[in-house]
Amino acid sequence: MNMTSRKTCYLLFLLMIMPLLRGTLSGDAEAAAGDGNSPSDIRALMLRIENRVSDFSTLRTDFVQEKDLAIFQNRIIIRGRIYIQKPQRIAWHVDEPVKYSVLITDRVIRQWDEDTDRVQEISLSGNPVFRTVIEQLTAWFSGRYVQLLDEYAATVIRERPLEIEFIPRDTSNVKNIIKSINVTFREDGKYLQKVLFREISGDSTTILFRNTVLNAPLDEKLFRVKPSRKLGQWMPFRISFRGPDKQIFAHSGK
Amino acid sequence: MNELFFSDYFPQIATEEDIRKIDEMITGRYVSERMKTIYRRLLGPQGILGASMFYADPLGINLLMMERLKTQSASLGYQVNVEDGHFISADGRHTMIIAHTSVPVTDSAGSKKLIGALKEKLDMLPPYISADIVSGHLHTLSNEKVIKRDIRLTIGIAAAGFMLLFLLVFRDIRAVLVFLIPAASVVLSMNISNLMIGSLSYWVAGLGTVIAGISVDYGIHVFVAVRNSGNASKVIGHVARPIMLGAVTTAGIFAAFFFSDIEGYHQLALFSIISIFLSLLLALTILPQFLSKGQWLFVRKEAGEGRDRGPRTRAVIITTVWALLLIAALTGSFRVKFDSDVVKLDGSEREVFQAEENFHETWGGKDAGGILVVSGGSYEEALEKNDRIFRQVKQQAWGDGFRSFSELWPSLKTRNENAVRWNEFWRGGKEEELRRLIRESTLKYGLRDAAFTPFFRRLYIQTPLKGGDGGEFISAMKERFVQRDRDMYRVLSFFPDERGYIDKLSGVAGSHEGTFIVSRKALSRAISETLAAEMKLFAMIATIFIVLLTLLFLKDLKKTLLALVPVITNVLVLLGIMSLFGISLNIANLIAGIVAMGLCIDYGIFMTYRYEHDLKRSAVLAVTISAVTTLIGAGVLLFARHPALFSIGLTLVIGVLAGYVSSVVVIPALEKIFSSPAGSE
Repeated sequence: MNMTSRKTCYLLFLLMIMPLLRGTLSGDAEAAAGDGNSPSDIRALMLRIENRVSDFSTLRTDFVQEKDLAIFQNRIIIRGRIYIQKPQRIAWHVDEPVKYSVLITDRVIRQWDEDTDRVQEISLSGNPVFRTVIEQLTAWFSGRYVQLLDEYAATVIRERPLEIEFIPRDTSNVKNIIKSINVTFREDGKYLQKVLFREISGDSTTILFRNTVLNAPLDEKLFRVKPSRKLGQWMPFRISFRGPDKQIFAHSGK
Repeated sequence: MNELFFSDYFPQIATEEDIRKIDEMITGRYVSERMKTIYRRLLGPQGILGASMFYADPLGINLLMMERLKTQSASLGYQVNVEDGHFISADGRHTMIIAHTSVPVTDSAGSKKLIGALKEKLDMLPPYISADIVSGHLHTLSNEKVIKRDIRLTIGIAAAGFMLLFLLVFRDIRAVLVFLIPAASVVLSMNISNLMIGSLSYWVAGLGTVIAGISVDYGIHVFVAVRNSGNASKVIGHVARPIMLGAVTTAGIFAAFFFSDIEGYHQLALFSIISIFLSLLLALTILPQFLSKGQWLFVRKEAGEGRDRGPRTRAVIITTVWALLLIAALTGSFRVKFDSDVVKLDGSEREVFQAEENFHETWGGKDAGGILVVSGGSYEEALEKNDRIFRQVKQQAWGDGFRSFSELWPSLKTRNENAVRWNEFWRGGKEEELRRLIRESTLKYGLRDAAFTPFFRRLYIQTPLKGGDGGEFISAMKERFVQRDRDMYRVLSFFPDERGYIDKLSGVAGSHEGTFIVSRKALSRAISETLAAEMKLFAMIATIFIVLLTLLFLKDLKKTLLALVPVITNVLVLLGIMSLFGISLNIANLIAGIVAMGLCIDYGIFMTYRYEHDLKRSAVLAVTISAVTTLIGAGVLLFARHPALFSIGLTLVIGVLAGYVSSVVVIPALEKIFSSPAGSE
């Protein structure tokens, strides 16, 4: 066997073992190892993901939401920002197509919309359905995945980027609403890249996270649902940077 | 989760009022507003998983149901959520564990063991978790601790006071015997009582110094009389009668407590009577043996014979002032109120109350309402009766605060009626109208009216209903409202615990068999009425007993009336002072007031009796020392931290002081007025 043939053999061998090496070198080797979907493997995987994803005290991210709902005649694209301050504060600001803000805490949700310009507060303790919805979202966005295994069966769909599908168990309270939830993580595994919610009713919602910054200081103003009017009075336009291409959007101050 | 959707329940529980509210929603303006709201909400996080909630309820009928749930939850007076089988506070930072125990709250030893075991468990908690115990057993232990400390303190002060008084006044070592008689009697009595009725409660034991202060009188009378005459055997014959009478009247007063149903009163009566008779026995038998031996350093001779000297005018002035004082006291006495709240006599330490305060701050329940209980032989029978009462109460102008299970889950009969009404409402053209309005409004917002198919698909409910228990959600509510005791079902309703409300509700509930009211205020009122009735009975028995015995002993109406002067003065001055300082009557000071009556009659009898047997000055001295010893015994209770002991001490001090002053000042003055003609001075 000459040198060329030997090199070819080495190359073929390397190509053969490449998937194994990738699995070993990857942080989520179990997921790639064929039968990585056994309950104990999934729990171990979730624990690792949770440790990585939930390792933040504050988070700011932009999002694009695509909604295919039975009630809408067309697909709706929603753009906005999410601010999370652990343990129990999520501010959800919708910038398009209408201005709408929600602050979610462990006990109440406070919401405002530009149309009515009124702040409405709803106690979660008196509204069990709403509360369940909010608890679910909080769990997904805050990275508490291990506790979700009590309600969902998880399957690894893809490993690069890591995508896991969660299907409600028969015993789960949400089985009448949720069909499945697919979560795709960023390459570095530190936060979500995409979440796809499929509902029993046929509705689906996809959320894409962009410009996510972990542990950045968050101004208290970001958790106010009603924006200050002063800025709008001074400036005819509000300028913000969003999107991976740093495209500049200009909005009317009103 | 799906169970919470109104369509599962609401058609069955919707009243005519609810149908009217829904009817008001079916307008172009309301439906349009509602579509706009739904559109906005769907853009927010609620729209991710909550869209189906809107499809099933385009009008927001769920809110009617939620409002009802909210008021039901508030009616219990507690802010508690049940999460994963745990009681969780509204702030989400506290959890509560309710423990059942077979240890009665009155069992002191058991309470000690129980609380000790709980504290041992709590000590194992990590430092960042704090825990409070809230239990009646803690009150038992804490009261016991406070009273024990009070007993140690008061015994010490009283013993020092008695010894000092005897040694200073009598200047004779034999005076120590006078002190030892009640001390020995009280100790013996405690042991005898323990043998007879088990163990004495601590508050009864806490009155030991008072009983000693009372029973020391017999020894004092014997001692003073013997010292003044120098002849023990001769004097005993004279003083034995009034001393025995005094003991019998005082014991008789305590005996009146046997008529009560309260065990604590029985203990007090037994302990006191044994102490009194033991003291009497020792004073009349053992004490003279010691007094007849040895020499008296000095024997006091009576200063004069006959009536007390002094101008008649002074007697008239004294009597007038006394009469005016009593009239003023009598006027004020009508304002004194009876406070039945036994909680105010709870002397538990601050930590115990603080733990309860913390509990109420977190969980509410401080103003927990009253409960109306409706009973029935079967579940449906109880529910039907509950429905009738609910409808009856709701028709009243005052019925707003009444929270009934009937609002959430009425009987099958009522639910059938509701379901039929619901179906008729929608079949009467409202379904078509709503469909049209939704169609018109959705067009404006780029929405599809077909999305609300789940609502229209489940709009009608099949009648007649087949029964059923209402599923998981109603079952959870049922745990709060329905209790089963063998073959008996009890349905609970909640209402504001106010006197006026209770009276009105009693009127409604009274016409339904098997219903009753459980109310803290009503219970307190019932206790108050029972106690007040008992106290009236005691006071009456004590008064009759005192008057009859005094009359029997003195065999003279005028002398009997004179002897009663300290008793009347004691009662009226006590009530007058209480009125002046806004002090209410309570169980503790009522007991003390009745006991003070028994002591004051002794002073009256002695002062009236004194002329018959050459005991004038010795009687005054004996009465004075008796009063002072009682004042010491009762006065030390003013140092007690326990409110019941303090209250008893205060009442006895005021009552005995008033009785004593009237016996040594007013009785001689009245005697002078009655015995000498006007202008004889």
